[in-house]
Amino acid sequence: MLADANTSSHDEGSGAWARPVPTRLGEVLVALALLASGAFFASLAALLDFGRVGLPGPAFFPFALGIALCLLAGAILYQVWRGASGSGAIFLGHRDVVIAMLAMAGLAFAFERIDSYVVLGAFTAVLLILIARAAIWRVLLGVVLGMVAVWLFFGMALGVQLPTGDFWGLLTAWPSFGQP
Amino acid sequence: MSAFDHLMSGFAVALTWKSLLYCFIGCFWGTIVGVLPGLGPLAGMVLLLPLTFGLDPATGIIMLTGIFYGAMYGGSTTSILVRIPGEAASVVTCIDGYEMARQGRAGPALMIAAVGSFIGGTVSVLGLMLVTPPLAHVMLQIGPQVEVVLMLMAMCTIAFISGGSRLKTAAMIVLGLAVGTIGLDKLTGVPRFTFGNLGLADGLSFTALAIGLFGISEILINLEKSETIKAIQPKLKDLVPRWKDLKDSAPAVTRGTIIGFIFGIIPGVSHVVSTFVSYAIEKRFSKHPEEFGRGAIAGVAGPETANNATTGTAMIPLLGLGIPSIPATAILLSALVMKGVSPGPLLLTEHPEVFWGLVASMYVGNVVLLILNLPLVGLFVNLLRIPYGWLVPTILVISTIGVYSVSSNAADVWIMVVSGGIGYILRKFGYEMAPLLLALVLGDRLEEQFRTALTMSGGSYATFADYSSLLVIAVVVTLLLILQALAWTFGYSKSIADEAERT
Repeated sequence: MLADANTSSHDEGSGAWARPVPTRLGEVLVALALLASGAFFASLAALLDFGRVGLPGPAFFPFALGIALCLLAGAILYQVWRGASGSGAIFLGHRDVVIAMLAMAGLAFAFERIDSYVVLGAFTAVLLILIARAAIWRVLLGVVLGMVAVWLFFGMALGVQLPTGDFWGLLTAWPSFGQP
Repeated sequence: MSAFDHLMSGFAVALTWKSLLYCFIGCFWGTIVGVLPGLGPLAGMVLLLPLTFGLDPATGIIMLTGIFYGAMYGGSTTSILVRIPGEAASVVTCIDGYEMARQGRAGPALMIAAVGSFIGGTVSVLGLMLVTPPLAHVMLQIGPQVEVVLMLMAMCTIAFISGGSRLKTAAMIVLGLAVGTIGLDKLTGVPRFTFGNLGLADGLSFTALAIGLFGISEILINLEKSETIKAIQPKLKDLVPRWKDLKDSAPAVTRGTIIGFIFGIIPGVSHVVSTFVSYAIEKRFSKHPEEFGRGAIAGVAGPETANNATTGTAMIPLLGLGIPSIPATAILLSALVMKGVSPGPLLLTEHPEVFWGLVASMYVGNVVLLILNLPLVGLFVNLLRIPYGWLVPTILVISTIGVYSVSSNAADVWIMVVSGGIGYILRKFGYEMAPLLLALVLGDRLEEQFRTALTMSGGSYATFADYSSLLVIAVVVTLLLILQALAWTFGYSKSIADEAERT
């Protein structure tokens, strides 16, 4: 409400790809996920040593926490069933959120496999093009300057060793690829 | 050595070029995250946490603490100029701060907010300096059972007073404690939930989880509301307040300091509560309550002072007891532990340079922030013009490198991404991440002390109800009841905190 007076929105409401999920359904799904997590901790802890009542073993704490989580998830489900969560909807799947999540998953996948600077540069470029909707020349300039800054700050100043992968090896070997 | 001698030795640490530089970086970054809506002190600290890995403990903690109180300063800027609170504690400042800005009095509002923040922050550091050593001394006399009771009390308080559903908060605390059990059991060395993976022996990376749950989820939430912000631009010459402004603000600053200092001890949302109580008290004490909501300077001075006065007090449980009471101090705890420094009663004897260096740096930092915030207010306001789409890749690249650099493990990047997605979903459905993070940090120690206490007492659970434990419970409950009564008296209720969180 406070933001309304001084901001103008680019996107309409909850974004182009966003779909409404009934709050009640979402609450149930989240509570079930918590229930499953509680069951996971309790069931696996049950395989460990419980120790004695006066001297609990490694299983005691996670088992008790797993049970407690199941009970709390059950209580949340009961609350939802009683209608405490209302009848509204929550929008999920906003375009920019989906793009950012997919880009981050790609980054995590390729980070160590390919040269990290190349991956981070590509990641930055994707987000600038698709989320910031920046012009290509700005993206290129931003990526090059950004990666130089990363190298100078993290690599040189702080001595952080980022994975190099075999991207450059493959690239330099590429012209002779397939030749005897 | 007297407290003064210790403080002087602290200044010897805080005034080295390295400490000053990192204190400045912390304060500067803190102000930026405070200014930028959607990036609070917590996300700011989490994002720069990896930068501390190459630093000594004192310098690292000085930088992170600088971010914490720097964000409190910065939060007022957007509240006053844009009517968007930079962080939850600045919600109240929007009411009269923005009205003042609309009347062409943004300069005095910013000036009084900065000076009030400086006074509140400095007095609270004085309190931190005087209260922590005796508290640590008392803590050394008591056993692990009392520590367990204290930690449980802290978690119960968070569940009771935090914004949103108490049930959901409790679920987040339990989930945090459960996730904290992943890895080798500290007492027996038995692996738990590791599935034979040696990488999980130390548990899930706290940095990756914290950045994911807080930083990434916050970015994803903010991506949904891409907005162009139009800010009122004050001129430097307009910053000087009138004599009447100073006269009206002085009592509000004094009261705000006392309120912030007292309320800072409450675990959870102390900084938010203190601002609402301060605003209500100012309105109650004002000769012209009808001016509140129409640009009363006391409505800016009181809450802004109060929220900064909580910063020093909030550090007392961490540094004196080793128990973080708010998420920001949980990050400080994890940073210290990563450095091999255990905050708590032994900190003052084993690493006095960390404690006194930090105290001294907070005095320095408050001066730095005062100097930084007023002349550079134009620069910080211009930051609001940077499209969020350009900030996102920058923040994500820093986060990824930071997470990876902790243990050079790409699996941590995955943990960050996945926990970011989970945090996003949980937050969409009203689950708070702060209790989860606090529990994650405290979980290990809670279990260890719980089992140690039982071992020491020969397996008797009565140890948790001995005289000292009951005394601690009585003191904490009494203190909380008094504070709650104070808050209610001045019209504060949990629904207000919920509203603030939503805003």
